[in-house]
Amino acid sequence: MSANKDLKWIGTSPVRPDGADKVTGRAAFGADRHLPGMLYAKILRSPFAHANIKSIDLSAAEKAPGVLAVMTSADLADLPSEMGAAGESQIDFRDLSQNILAVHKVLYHGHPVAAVAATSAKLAEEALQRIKVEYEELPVVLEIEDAMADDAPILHEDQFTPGGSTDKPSNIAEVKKLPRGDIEKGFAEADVVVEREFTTPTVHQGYIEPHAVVASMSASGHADVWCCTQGAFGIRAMTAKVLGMEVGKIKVTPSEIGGGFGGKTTPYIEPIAVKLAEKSGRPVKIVMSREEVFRATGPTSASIIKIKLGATNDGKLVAAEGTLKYGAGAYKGSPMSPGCMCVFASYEIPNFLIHGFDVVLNKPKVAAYRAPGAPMAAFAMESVMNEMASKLNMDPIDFRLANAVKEGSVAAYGPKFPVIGFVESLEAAKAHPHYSATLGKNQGRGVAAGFWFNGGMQSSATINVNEDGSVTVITGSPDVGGSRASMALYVAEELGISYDLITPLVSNTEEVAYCDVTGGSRTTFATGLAVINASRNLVAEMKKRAAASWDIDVSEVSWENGQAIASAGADKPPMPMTKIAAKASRTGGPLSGHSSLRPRGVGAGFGLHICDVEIDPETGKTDVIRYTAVQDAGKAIHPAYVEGQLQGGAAQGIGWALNEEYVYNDKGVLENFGFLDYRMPVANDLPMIDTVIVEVPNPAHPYGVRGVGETPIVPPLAAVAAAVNNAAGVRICDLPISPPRLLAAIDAK
Amino acid sequence: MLQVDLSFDLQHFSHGLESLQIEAATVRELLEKLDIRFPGLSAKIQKDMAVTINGVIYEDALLEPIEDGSEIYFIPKISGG
Repeated sequence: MSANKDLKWIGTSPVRPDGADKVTGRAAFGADRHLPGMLYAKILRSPFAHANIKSIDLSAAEKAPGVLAVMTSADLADLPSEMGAAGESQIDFRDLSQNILAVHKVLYHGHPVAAVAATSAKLAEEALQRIKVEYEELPVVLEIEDAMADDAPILHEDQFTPGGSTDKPSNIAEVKKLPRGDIEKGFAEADVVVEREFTTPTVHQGYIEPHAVVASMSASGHADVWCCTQGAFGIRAMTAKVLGMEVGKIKVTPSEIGGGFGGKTTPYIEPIAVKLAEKSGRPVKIVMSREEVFRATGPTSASIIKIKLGATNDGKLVAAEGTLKYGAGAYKGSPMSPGCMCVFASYEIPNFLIHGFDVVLNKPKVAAYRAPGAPMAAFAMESVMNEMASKLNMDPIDFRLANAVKEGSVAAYGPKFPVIGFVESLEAAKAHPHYSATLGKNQGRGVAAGFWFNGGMQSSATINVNEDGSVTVITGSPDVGGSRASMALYVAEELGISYDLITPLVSNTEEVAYCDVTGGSRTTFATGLAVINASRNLVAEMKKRAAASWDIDVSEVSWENGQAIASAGADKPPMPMTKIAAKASRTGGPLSGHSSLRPRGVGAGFGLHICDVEIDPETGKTDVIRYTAVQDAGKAIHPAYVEGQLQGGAAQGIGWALNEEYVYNDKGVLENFGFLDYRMPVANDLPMIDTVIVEVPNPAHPYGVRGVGETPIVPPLAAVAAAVNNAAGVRICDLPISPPRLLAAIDAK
Repeated sequence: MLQVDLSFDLQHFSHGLESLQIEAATVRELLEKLDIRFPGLSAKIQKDMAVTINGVIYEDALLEPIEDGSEIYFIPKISGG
């Protein structure tokens, strides 16, 4: 690992290279591309939450004014049910395809059924009205336990619970069990046992920019796709699969992205745009409305989680049992598995048993949302930890310190932890002035911890040196949180040149080597490693050029502060990079560095949040009055953007805890499909969120980096709930703690 | 000799066996030997799991050497958001 104390650029917070264009409206997002002859496509969506499709008649729509192409699922490849790699995750490609356009059944209100491309958006919308679809309505199931019941309406006749009946289809798509030790013996040893059940609602990632795509098809069958996405290569792979095209015949260019948080890692409209472009011979644009985003993109799972915890009087955890039920939406694949792996991951518990259930129901198929599965699991576990600490008369952070995992602890999901920073984060939180600040009337404080694995996956980077010594660094990692600035900081540090000489770019799938999705808190770690390695390869080459120029052996050349330095005996003045670059054409050709890798040694993330609230006992309104997010980042490459990740995760978690939920009527129609009624926190809802960046270096990274993007959404649900419960003297275990729910709890006291 | 722990997800291949000791010098050799003993296990691991060697996670580790005495665990590949 590099000596962090000598750093010149890493650890600073320069202005992001994309900042000026973004604040002046010049940055090009998904909907900002306009091509000559472009058509506008609209999608016909199911009016029912569960129905068989008897027939689809497109004939009138095909003849409608301005219409140049129509399509249904018949225009997609006929895919078998098979799990395959798609971006960072495993998915069933048949489910993916049928979610893009329904085949025999619609499984949620808003499920796409057909699409039309016309010369204007208005004409496309009018043409949709001419499509005749005959449906046979089916009973709807919207709640997890209703979907698990023996008499539940079945969504998929060919889905059976693994290990269960092979005759009777089931809405339980997957079960998981994680045992350790002997929980009966463990609970028998416990002096105090706490058992509670918790529920969390369906919530959306809330990205401000709706999905948008512009696709065109060349005469030779090459598709050009411009879209807002967290992963261009993943979109390429999944679009190719769904359309039955070769991967190499699709180019995907990621636009600037107005938020993703996991929700833009899967295609919804890209394959439709490509097929309509192919059929019409014209470019096609699709921009989802806010209503479509809410009704028909992936939120995250609702959950029902029961936790039973046993501890001795001296504060040691001896047993735990968790039952985690996650709603997957229309197709299998909720984040139940990572939820099960995370729920007890922060603590040393010798005996535990975890059961998980992945349950389908008539809501949109869920998608990733920032630490998928973990916030709900932490809400339950951290709430019980707080109750246990209270029963044991222990400080809640001290209770966590007494049981915290550390280096060498066996994680609940199996392997031993390498160097981690959980204890350091707990200690930093306990020492923070917020933790000991006085509270007033109707005010309460809550704390909660959080954990996320973080990801590695594949990344590539290329660094090109221009003739004047300036540098371009190119990766395939869409910039969702300021990563371009971090890539430039890495290059500046490694090459020893000014940050201002570096242009960081995000390129398309044809002009940069493979890069997995920007997600999983992996970009600064993994793509950063590719950038570091590319920089080092470039430095090695520049040393060779200098050595050749000086006619000395390359072993006599070192690199420092952007210059080649000859050893003392060589008697040569330093050769700056500008000179090496200017001479490149005469010393061997263009200068560049490249690296493609799949790194190991991902560093897990841990944090602890402190939340103070003030409640209004007459209205049930909760105001967050102070919030501190403490988290181990390993090394903050760009501290301001690390702070931004902590603050953003906290803000999303606060919204999840206090206000956000999908509200459905009994027919499965979403009623709050806009930001007015799906109430996310806005600026005046929140105090300034204070952050503490703990740095326990990850020994597997040259600068000690750990991913930071997802851990900060894990603690807030429990921290906020604990604060409200302490302020109001109640115990609410169901989210959101909206004013009516809090008032009802206060009135019931 | 390696200590290999098999999670619940893999135990229907191993007929409930939770851990075993086995000799192998690389991950590829380990998977080959496991597959001889528990047919289908290697394909499942390669498709859905990451390998941890003494706590370090390797997402694609076929050629990775393994020191004698190492602890091996297979965990589901984790995606994120």
